[in-house]
Amino acid sequence: MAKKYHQGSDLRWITITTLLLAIGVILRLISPNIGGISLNWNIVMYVTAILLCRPTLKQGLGIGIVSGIIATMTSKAALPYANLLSDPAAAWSCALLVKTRIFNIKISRICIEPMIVIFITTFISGGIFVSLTKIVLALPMSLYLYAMLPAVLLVAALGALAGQLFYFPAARIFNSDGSEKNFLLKNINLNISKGEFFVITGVNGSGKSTLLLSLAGARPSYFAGFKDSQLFIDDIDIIKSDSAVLNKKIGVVMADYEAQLVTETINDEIAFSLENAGLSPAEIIKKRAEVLQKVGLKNLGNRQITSLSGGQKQRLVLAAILAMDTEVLVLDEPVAAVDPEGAREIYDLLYKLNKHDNKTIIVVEHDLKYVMDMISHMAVLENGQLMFTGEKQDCLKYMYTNKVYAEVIPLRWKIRWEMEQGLC
Amino acid sequence: MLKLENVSFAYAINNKIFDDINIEIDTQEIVAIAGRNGTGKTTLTRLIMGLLHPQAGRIKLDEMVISDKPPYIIAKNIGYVFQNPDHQLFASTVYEEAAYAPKQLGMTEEERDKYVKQALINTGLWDKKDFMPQTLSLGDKQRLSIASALAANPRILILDEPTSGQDCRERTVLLRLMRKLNNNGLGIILVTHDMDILAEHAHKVVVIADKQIAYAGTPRELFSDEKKTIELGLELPETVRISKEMEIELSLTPQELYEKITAGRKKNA
Repeated sequence: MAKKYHQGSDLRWITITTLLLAIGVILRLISPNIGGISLNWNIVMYVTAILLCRPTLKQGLGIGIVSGIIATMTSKAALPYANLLSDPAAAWSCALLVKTRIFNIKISRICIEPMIVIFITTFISGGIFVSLTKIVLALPMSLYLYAMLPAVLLVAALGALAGQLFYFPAARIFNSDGSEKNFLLKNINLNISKGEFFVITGVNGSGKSTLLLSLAGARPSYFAGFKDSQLFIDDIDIIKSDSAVLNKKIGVVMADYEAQLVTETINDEIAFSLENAGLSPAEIIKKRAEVLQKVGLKNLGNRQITSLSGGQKQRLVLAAILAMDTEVLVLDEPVAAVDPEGAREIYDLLYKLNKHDNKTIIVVEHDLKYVMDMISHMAVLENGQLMFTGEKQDCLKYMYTNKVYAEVIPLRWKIRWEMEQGLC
Repeated sequence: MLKLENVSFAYAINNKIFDDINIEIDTQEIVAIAGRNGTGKTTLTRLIMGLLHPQAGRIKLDEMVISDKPPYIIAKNIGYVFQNPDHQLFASTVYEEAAYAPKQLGMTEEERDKYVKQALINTGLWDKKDFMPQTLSLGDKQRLSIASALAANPRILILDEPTSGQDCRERTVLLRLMRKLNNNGLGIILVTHDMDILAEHAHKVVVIADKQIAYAGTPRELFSDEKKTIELGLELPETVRISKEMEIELSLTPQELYEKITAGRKKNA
């Protein structure tokens, strides 16, 4: 895989950059100015941000523009407006340098990329800055060559040292980059095709729910901790897609389904998401009737949600998700809090949605009792590793033979298999 | 012997949960309580624990009437484990958690240490005695609730849906523990929805339906009558279904099923 670490979503790079730039401004204002030379903390900070987030070139340019505006307003230099050109240009070059990773060099296990990149970036920024100042203010060449440029080199060298020292604590705080133990899920390569009834199983704590949330687009976007992994649901690249795109395609029913119920009555609950999606009242009523019919809550529209049983609540959440018409439904232990009768109802319903409406269903379950007959494909997780993924029969065989969470294999399957193999 | 004699109970007037029920529960056995949702399984266990009081009738443990006794007297004889372990864990270490009930029941320090240690060893939590209960896995938490109940040295332990939320591995460990405790002489009252667990582990089963005890007897007898099982709102355990499909003698446990299958093959051969 070309891209080793997925470095998070919009929120992450914006948060880190803003925070570091703010620290940079403060440090710049309070840093001592010795003989006209002071450390340019702004540059150190945005380079650190770019190193941590590895943004696109466009995002790098954006960081530069913001930094340029800040520098213009806080600068005590003769021509502060030069920052508006020098910073964006330098930040863009920095993003380019970081992207190509040409300076990703290690000297006795210490990565000196920050030092080199900060030096070059400061030199570019300072170079442009002093050149502009010279031209606009028509300063003598000797001043430019023997005072201003050497000053830039000195500031760059100082910045490189300070940045190198600052980078490590910053990386520890903001990045899970590097150390293995931070990755709960490792080497996950999962491809789920359209129309599959896919079950992910494993013991409690094996990473099932994390994987499920990842499939719904939550985890990889908000945390950087996803290593060497690829997640695909029917050609949608989960790790690379924006959550806005995923929201339209994937509906999620969480393990704590009560947390998803926000209104008082069944009718309001279904209307809530539809209203937010901008449907007209007539459309909402039509759609609502349709989904309530599907989940078997047709005549209960005015019932208070608090008066519903666990199974009914679970089906209501499902109806609210169905109303959004996503191709994929993702459910975390949908029958955990439901009695056997309710459990069968929910799985029968999911089976119908899978077969008749061709929805892709992805379920996390630590017990296969009620779902066994519906499964088409399955995966088994152990300690955050995907041990097997494939067709149901193959996966069960793998689990049986290798004793990977073999306790969950239904007795019926086990007996049939053992008889076929002449084991009993 | 735990006896309920002519017990009636209602939360609200004219809405009886139990109407004049009589049961005898052997305090040496694993007795399962089953029934549809809302039939009063948990209510029954709370009546036994003295957390609720019957409006009519009485509950006796051997010759002692317990239904008019305060809960702490009953607690010396009967331990209770809630369905959700988080509802009963509050101390800062596993050891303190288990030691809480014996302390409240006024045991001497020596006695207390003995029972707490025994309970934690039995439940496999002795190595984790200094851990914080909230940091344990769900399976460990559930076993800690059991240890806390055991530390009071009761004769009977009531388990309300002890396996809910647990994965199959944790479940196996828990049920094995329950069997071990029963073999050591502890009576178990097990409230469960799971007919597979009931078939495999219960000696007797009490089914509640329509404010009455609709069935009291062995699981084997119950499940051999499929029609009645369904009527009572229960389903057949997987082992029973498989033995029916394979047309072999009714088997309750997987082990029994395997034996019958092998025996059937030999006969055919």
